[in-house]
Parts: sequence; C-alpha cells; structure tokens
Amino acid sequence: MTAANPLSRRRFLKVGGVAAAALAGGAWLLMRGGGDAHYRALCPGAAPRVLSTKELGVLAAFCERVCPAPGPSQPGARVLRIAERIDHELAFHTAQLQSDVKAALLLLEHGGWLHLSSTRFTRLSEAEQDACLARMGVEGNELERQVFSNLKLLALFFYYCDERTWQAMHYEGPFAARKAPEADSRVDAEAAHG
Amino acid sequence: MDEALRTHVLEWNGVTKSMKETVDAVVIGTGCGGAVMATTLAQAGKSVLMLERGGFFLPQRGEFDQREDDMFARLDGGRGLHTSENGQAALTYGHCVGGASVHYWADTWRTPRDRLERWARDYGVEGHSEEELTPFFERIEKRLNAHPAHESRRNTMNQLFIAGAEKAGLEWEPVTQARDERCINSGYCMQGCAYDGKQSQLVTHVPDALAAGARLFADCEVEQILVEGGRAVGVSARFLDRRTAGPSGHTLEVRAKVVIVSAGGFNSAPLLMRSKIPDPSGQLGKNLQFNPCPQLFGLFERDVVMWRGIPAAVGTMEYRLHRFEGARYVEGGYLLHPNQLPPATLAALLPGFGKAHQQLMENAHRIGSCIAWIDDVNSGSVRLDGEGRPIWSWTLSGQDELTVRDALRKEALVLLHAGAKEVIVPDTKGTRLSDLNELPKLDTVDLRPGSMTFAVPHPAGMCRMGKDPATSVVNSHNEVHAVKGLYVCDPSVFPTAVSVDPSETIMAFSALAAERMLASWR
Repeated sequence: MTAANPLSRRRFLKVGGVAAAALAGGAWLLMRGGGDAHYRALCPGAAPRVLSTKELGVLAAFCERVCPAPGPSQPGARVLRIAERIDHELAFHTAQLQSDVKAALLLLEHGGWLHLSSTRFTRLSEAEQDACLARMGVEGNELERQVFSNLKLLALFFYYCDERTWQAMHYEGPFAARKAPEADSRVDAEAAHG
Repeated sequence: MDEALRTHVLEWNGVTKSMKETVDAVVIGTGCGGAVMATTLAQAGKSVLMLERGGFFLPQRGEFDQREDDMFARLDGGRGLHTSENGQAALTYGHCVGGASVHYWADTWRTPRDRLERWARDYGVEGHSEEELTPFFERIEKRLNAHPAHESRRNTMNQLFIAGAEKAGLEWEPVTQARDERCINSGYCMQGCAYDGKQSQLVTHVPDALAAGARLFADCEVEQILVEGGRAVGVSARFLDRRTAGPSGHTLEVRAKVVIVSAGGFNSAPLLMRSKIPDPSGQLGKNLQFNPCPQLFGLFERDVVMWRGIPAAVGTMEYRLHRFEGARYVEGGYLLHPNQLPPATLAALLPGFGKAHQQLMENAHRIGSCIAWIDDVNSGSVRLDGEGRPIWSWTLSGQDELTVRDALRKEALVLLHAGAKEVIVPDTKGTRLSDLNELPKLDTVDLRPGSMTFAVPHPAGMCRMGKDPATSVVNSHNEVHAVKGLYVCDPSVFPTAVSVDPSETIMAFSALAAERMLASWR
C-alpha cells in the first residue's frame, strides 16, 4: 500500500458561501487598517516571504495556542519559529494555495463577526483564544472547521518535525544524517546553505 | 547505476539550454507504469526517453535523510499538500523518479480475479484475464523479490494487530512484500528507503531501463502532448529549477513515434485534457476512484513505537469485498492493516490542541493504529483551472460512508481487543472509545469535510479502458481511442479501483501493453 499522507491540502480550504464572502470583504478592510506594530510584535524579527506581516502575526498567535507551551522538555512555537516555517513552505506552492491560507488567516482573525463579536483573535486572552479554537473545531460550520483543522495540521506537523521536540515524545530520530532538499523551507535554510 | 547516471540521466542542474530530441518512444512518468514500459521497450532495442516532473533522488547521495518534512518535499506530489476541492481527500502520489513506489509500503498483490472479470464483463476490457497476466505477475514478483513478510518483520503494532484480530475473531495473513535482505526494518518506508531494501521502481525497473539504454530527464514537466493528423508525434515540456519548484526557463521538445503517458492516476487525465486530446466518450477526467483511508489510534499501556519496523507485515483480506443482504450494505469493502505513521505525521492527525494534544504526544510511543483501505465505489472527477492546473473533486458519500463506518468499527475492535485502554478518533471533536460498548459512537462520528480527512492513495479510472470508444478513453492495448500512437500506461486506465495495492497490477498491465505495442510496431 502507499503511505497514508495526511498533509495533502491542494485546496487548503474552500472559502465559499455568502457569509464567508461578506466576512472576507469586511475583514479585508479591517486588515488593511492600522495595527501593524501589533502584528509585528506577535512574530518579532520575522521577514515573511508569502504572508503579510499581519497574516504572519495571526499565524504565530495560532501556533502558540495549538503547539505545546514552552517547558523544560520542549521549546514553544515562537522559539521554533513555526509560523515563519509555514510561510517559507508556502513559497514553494501555487498562488491558489497561498491565497487559501491567507483567507484562512483572515477568517481566523476576524471570524468573531460570524458570532457577533468584533474582537480579533489576536486581541483575545489566551483562554479566550483556546475557547475560540475549540468552538471552531467542534461547533463551527464547515468553513470554520476547515480553517481550524488545516492550520492546526500545518502547525503541529512542522512543530514536531523540529528535532528539538523529539525527546519529549520519546522519538530518537532518524538513522541518517540530514541533507537539506534544494527547495528547503526550514527557517534556517539560508544560513545552512551559506 | 553510477555510469548510467553520468551518461543517461539529466537533472535540473545539468540543463544549460533548451533542447530538442527525437526518439522512438517518450515515456511521461517513471512510476510503476512508466518504468516498466520504458524497460521493456529499451530492452527491445527502441530508443526511449523517460521524462519525470519530480527529482531524481538516491540514497547513495544522502538524499533519503528520513526527515518527514524533507522527504515530503522531495517525494510527494504538491510536497504533500494536494487535496480534493473540499479538502476531504488528501491526495497521495509520487513526484520523483520511481513515482509513488518510492514512498509506498512495498505491499504486493496480484489483481484479484473478481476484479479482472468485472472489468471484462462490465467495461469490455479484453486480453487481461488472470491467465494472460500470470506470466507478467511471475516476472514482476521475481524482479521485486516479492515474498510474504517473515515473522521477524512483525513490529509491535503488527503483533498487536494479530492479537486483536484473533480475539475479535478476524482472520489475518502475512502480506507479501517487495523487499530484499537490505531492508533493516528502519520504519522509514514512507520517507523513501535509505538502504535500497524496498524494491521500488527506483531500484528495479528504472535502473533496468537505463541499463538497456533508455535515457531519463528528471525535473522536466510535460506541458502538452503534440498531435498531428490524429496521431501523437511528441511532447513539449519545460525544465524545472529544483530550488524553486518553478520553471528554469529552458524547454524541451521531443518528437517520438509513440507517446506513453504514465503520469499517474491523478495526473495523466489532466495532461490529456490540457493537451485537448479528443474525448468522444466524455469519460476523460471522470470516474476517479481511489482508496480512502480511515484510521483509528489506540493508546496502550505498553510501548508500541509505531514508527519502527515495516508497516504492514500482516493484514486481513477478510473484508475486501462488500457484502450485501439484498440491496442493503452489511459490511466489508476494504483491507484492514496495522498502521504506521512517523511522529510529526501522527501529531498532525491526532485530535485536540495545546495541552491536551501535548499530553497525547508525550505518549506517542504508546500509540498504535489500524488503517483501512476502502474500495471506493462513488466516483470523483477532475477539471482544469484557468491556468491548466487540475482541481480534483470528491466527496465521501453513500455506500462509501457506510463502508468507512464499518471499517472504523473493525479497527476499534482490533485495537480494543489488542489491549488499547482508549481508542482515539481523528475527528475534530476528538471522539474517544474506552470499551466495546462504545462502538456505536462510530455510527455518528462526523465524517464531513473539515471534521475528518482521508488520505487517498491508489487512484484509478480517469482514462478508463474499454472496448467501446463511446464509453472508454483507451482500448485494451492502452492506446487512446481517438489518437493513434498515444498510450496511457498507469492506473488511470483501470475502470475501477483495484481493491488491493495496485502497484503489481500497474506493472503487469504496462508490461503487457509494451509487449503488444512491440508486436505491432511499425
């Protein structure tokens, strides 16, 4: 049999429906507004390749809630720069996929509108963010479920690909030495390639 | 291989200019279909050029580094990020020299007789009886060193599967594997074998073809099939820069007596559609079937370390065929196997997030899993977007949904009987079962898009074979009804999914097609 690949996301999500379109339109206007510093602070020092600073900030906030909190046995998503890793990965994909991810982040940040809340995801407290994500995953409509599950899939996959997380899950790692692919999306790839 | 590499293989960093070639046969794709076809034609003295969109990777160059992220990027279509339009089906296919066989599990089956008979009876496929294919099966099994997996290859998850199946009253049997003595049970089959132990096309028919004189251009994407006067005469292609996954700026034009499309079950039909190949049947790009893979996880009190050993040394064929009472579906329609997932992929599939997910991952070494390969009956399709890229459509529905639920139930039976203290469903809700009394929960698990995703390997159907040009795309010699000299040799031609791993079926059909092509070569 061929390996079961859970990562496939050609159409990362299908943004459809009147509600989504209306939301996207309104949220796009909001995303155009000020507050760049707010988003930059969520992912300090990052230089996104595909996402905007704001989109990367939203993704970074998401990754911090979904991935393990920093602890003695493993670093958190911020230290591992998971949001940037996803951004770098997107550089090797089609414009359509990039667009889908951007739309997902837009919905995540401003999806409160669907539930009569104008508070952005990144402005919620950590507990409120967790509640928001739990609601999206379990009670959300198809669009919200896809946004949650697909972003989560990317965040956790790339988090646990980082060898600094392996000890905590009792994974001793590969037998072979690493050889980076030519199209390497690791954040330190440029340094590694010299 | 070293000498052939130097003289017969062109890769991205060796391309310095646009090129033109003239050959007897151009073969698009180097998976099970293309590699066997290229080998047979080259061994018969034909000049053969293989074109592969993906890269050429070798363990001898350290390129099978066993990292999940690196190997998805090297080996998998869309770097592992291609799905159906609704996100429900995660498309699993190869994007490298050797195709999907490089990341497959090495499970090897002959085409079930009932499937061949159905294809003949319902679709008019001729000359593909079990008797006619048997010599090809035998030859392929010998080349792939295919043998039932020895007991020593059963990892802990395989042993748990046997124990659970026996307690649940399910049959089980060893699964035939294409491996040789170099397989060290590393557990990195999905990442491509670093030891050349798994007998993928990369270590069998691709080297055979090169040794027979065929040439191979990797990182080369065919854009159009060229047709003149109702006959295929070649292809136009572009070279890709492996560093960017985009075009390098150099092009290729090939003139050939025959054009063989072996781009795989997901991608051959889109290439024909993009090339505007006439399709009087209206079936091109339709009838997409595959094997959706529902899977469950079991949390054990002992170490399982699912990611070590070979994936499926054992399994059960007991439920391969659907069973009905009258018109009512009862059970079956899938193969059931122990599962193998490497850690990051496991993390991506487990439900929950934050602290709850972290706690699961801290016990990742105690998580086992079962997987089913559903014999899909409801079909999907493909269409092209404005830039000629494929958009695949498929939704789990009808009988397939019933089959998935039955497979989940059997998986839970095996896991609970094997001693799992909890069964974890990979739905967004994170449904759990702690004993057999909770099996009915699986009858209502949310399977809708966004709630559960199904990996879908083993595509078939979108260039289906048949006698009647009004209902099929290729004839029983794999030649496109409407275009002379254009052949499709991959699982696209199977009228339905095969119901077992299709690799041996693909190879056998391709070898048979090659011999028939040679017999009528002008």
